[in-house]
Amino acid sequence: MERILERGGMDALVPAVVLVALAFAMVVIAFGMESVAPGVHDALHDFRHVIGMPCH
Amino acid sequence: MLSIKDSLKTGALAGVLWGWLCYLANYFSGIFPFESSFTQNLLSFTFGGAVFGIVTAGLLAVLGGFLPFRRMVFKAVFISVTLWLALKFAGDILSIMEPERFHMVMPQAVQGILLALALGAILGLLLGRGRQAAAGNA
Repeated sequence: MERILERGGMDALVPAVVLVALAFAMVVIAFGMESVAPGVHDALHDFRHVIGMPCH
Repeated sequence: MLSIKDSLKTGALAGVLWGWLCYLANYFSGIFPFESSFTQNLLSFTFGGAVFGIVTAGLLAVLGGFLPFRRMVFKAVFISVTLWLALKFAGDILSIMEPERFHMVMPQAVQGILLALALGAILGLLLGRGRQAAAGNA
């Protein structure tokens, strides 16, 4: 029973961690946060403008 | 019922398709003149689209049960538009705080919210099909 619960917990934990990490990545992409990920502003500049996020 | 893992995979697929749709929509609308090469944009729109698609699908998997809609496509559109509005709101605050760094451009914002609707529609249709297939296999 404990093993089943542990496996169930881990199965849910991995997608949850991926989701939180990608949500953070999405914010970094949306605002071109160079201080967090150097190069992200230029790399996704056109994408950010096309989806209507404010940029320079 | 799809597992959260399957939802995220479907979100990645929907997001990649949506990224390419974003490129095509802007190519035809001409609202933002592309500054990068086609190859770089192909990569960045694919990657950016996948990230947005996965996050939207994840939020849908977590919050979908609380939404007052029966059809998956309406739930997905609600989540994607709400997410876009939240990001836009935060961006507008940044624009007020740092006007020389962040500019608000209305045509791009209109295109953006229409594309957010499109992401919800693509994701909702793909998840709806996935759910039907899962129910058929059960």
